[in-house]
Amino acid sequence: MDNLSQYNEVFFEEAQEHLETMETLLLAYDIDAPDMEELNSVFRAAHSIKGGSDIFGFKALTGLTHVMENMLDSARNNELILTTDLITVLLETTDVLKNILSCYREESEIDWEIIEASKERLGATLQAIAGAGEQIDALLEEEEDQGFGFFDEDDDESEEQEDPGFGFFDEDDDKSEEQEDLGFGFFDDDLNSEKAPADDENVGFGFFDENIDTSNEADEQQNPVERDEIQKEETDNIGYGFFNEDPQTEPAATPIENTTTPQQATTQKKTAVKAPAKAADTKAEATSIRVETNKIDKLVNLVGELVITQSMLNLIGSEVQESIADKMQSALIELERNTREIQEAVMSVRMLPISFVFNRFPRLVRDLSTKLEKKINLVIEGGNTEIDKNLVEKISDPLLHLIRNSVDHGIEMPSKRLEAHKDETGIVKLSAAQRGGEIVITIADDGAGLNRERIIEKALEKELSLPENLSDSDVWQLIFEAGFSTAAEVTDVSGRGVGMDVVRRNIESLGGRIEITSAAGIGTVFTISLPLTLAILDGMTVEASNQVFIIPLVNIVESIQPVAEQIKRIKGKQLLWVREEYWPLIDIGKTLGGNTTATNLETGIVVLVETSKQRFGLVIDSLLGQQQVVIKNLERHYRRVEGIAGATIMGDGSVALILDVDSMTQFIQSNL
Amino acid sequence: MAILKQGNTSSMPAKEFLTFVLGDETYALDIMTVKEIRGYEPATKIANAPSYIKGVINLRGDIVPIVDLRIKFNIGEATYNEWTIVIMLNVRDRVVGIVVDGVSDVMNLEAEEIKPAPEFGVAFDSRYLHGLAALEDQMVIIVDIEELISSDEIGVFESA
Repeated sequence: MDNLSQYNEVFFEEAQEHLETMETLLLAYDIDAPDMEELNSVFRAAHSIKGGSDIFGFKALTGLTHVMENMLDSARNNELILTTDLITVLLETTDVLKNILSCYREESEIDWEIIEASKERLGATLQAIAGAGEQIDALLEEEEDQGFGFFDEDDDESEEQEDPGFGFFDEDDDKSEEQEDLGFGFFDDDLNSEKAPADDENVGFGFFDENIDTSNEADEQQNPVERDEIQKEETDNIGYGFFNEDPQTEPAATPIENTTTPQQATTQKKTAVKAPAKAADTKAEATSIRVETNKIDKLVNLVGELVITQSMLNLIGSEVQESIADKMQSALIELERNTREIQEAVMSVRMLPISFVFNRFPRLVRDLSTKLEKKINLVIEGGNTEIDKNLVEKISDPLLHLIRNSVDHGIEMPSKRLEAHKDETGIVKLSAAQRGGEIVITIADDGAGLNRERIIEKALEKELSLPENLSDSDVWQLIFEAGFSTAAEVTDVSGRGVGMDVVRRNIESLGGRIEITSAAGIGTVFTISLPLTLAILDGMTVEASNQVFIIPLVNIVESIQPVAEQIKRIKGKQLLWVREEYWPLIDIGKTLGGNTTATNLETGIVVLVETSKQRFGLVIDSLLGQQQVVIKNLERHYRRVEGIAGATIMGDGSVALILDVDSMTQFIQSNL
Repeated sequence: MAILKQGNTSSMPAKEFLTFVLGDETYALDIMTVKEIRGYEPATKIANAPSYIKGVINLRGDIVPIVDLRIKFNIGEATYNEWTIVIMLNVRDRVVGIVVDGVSDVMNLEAEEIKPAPEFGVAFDSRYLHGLAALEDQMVIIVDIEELISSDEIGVFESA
């Protein structure tokens, strides 16, 4: 086993993926119109985990997946109809499996009680639903008593054998699943020996030799880990002949192979279905590798340094003497293009489809809606929109929260929905799209909408000072206040009011914004805009009080040199009249640069910026230029500074601060 | 083996300290916290920071804050010239630079050589002191630099 331990990590990763596949497919499973191919995939996933865990000696996984596999198998053969309850139990079982998996991964103690309880649950549910005790007994007993429980099924098989041209192949279908994992097809010893006569019939067709070659080859490619074992087995089998009646010698693998031949020969369709899946597997293996994330992070950091070095060179290049200036310039342009391409390539390595996050939610919505007795359909769009890996991790919690809110507060009870002439089933739509340099994620529900009166009432209760004539969007912003919840009662799902302020803070800390639109009776839409990446930003470099600052380009509306007529005053504070609008002003030199006197507006420049909350102007001395900057965290060695999003290193090696335009709005309030 | 024996002979291994000068006083800090020593270079000012935080500099790609202890503790005159020294410290997994008037020496001190500090007479609160030691005829104040830099009083780190 020692030489196998190096593959443990691979097994864990694969098992994790299989579990996720199972979960996704089970969730998508339509009880009324079962899709056999999906069921087969679930079965295959369970089977692969079983096989793998047995080889690696993770017995806890093997036992439980085995019971699960049997259940799925009978469902596949239409011996068992999957009901919602059964699916729920199956989902719970995948949860238990995930737990066990992480226990093995962390090498911590396995809780056998949970496994047994889970097995019993599976059994109990089966019993309750199918009623037909024998079959279930067979399924369960097989676990403990291999030589016993299969008789019922064996009967069926012998019946099928009477009609070898037809019924046999159905059975083959099962076997072909086993074929995937030749090395561990031992569980059905008795079954195979029972089947031997049937296989004997095939001897006449002379399939066997050819057969072993092909299927073993396939297996070797697929599963190099087991290769040795299988080869050994193969030679054993050849020596004995394939139909050794003695179950102790474990010839199981061979008879299983045999059965595949008629299948390959006759039921083309089934192989056709399976073949692409296998091809896809091998293809994926060949074209992708697993890389530790910290290696990629390091690469990104290095590219960041490269961008800085490149801008340093640019600076030097502009001072170069005439004789080589041209050559230098063209080399620099080349370098710049290459740097940008490297940067884009490295960034794309870090991009993941957002479905990594989205795929967790169908389960959540299903569980919640069952619990709340609501009918909800979660629609996911744009799952393949790519997003920075770091963002994926950080956006998950806020999204989880918003979806919970939509399910809990947004969508009404079915009876209420019918009263309101809506479809009984509510829709929560989660979508993602890339727009310009931003990722826009929306969570929309067709529920009751936000209740304006209740929010205002609650705000007054909280003694928040409210200006008169609040616009709707101002009211919606109130729900982001700490401790704000309008839920009539607190449930364990949501309503404690600790969430929305955290949601907004998290999103803003990612450099994003969140907006709400809502209409009573029609629904609520949360729109989250996030930057594509956290590491590099397009910025405008400006100067104020002899210091360089960077304003993120996304925030900038335009830059103007104000004329006297545009400057208005209210209570000694200056406002700018541009585009039929009064813009409050923030003097960067004074608020951030340490200037004691205000910049003269008529000689300075005003950069008009906008955030989700407000539009205003930043007063600076001069514009320096536009460039890409690498965002360096200020908090790594220092602390958070109001109005500053981070720092960057300029071409000359000096540090420039990047403005956090969103959090600057507070300077306006304190200024006024 | 030789190392083991050495360890056994002296009951308490001597610790090394870096001594530095602030005004007229000589201070020392645990040399293990020192990352490097470099000349002063102008830092990028940070908005609304106290005057003793000179700003941040680029230390090979890291943005590192610079604290001028002379301003913080009102010792000596805060002038910046080619001899002004910055000691880059590694404190609790962060890097902070401190500006001092000069770095003088590295000294070995046994634990028993460090005498408890009086409650008065030094610019630093006794919380941030390990004690006093004598170097020839000079008194050296041994600073618990980790405690000092991570304190709220300096306020470089986010208070927990």
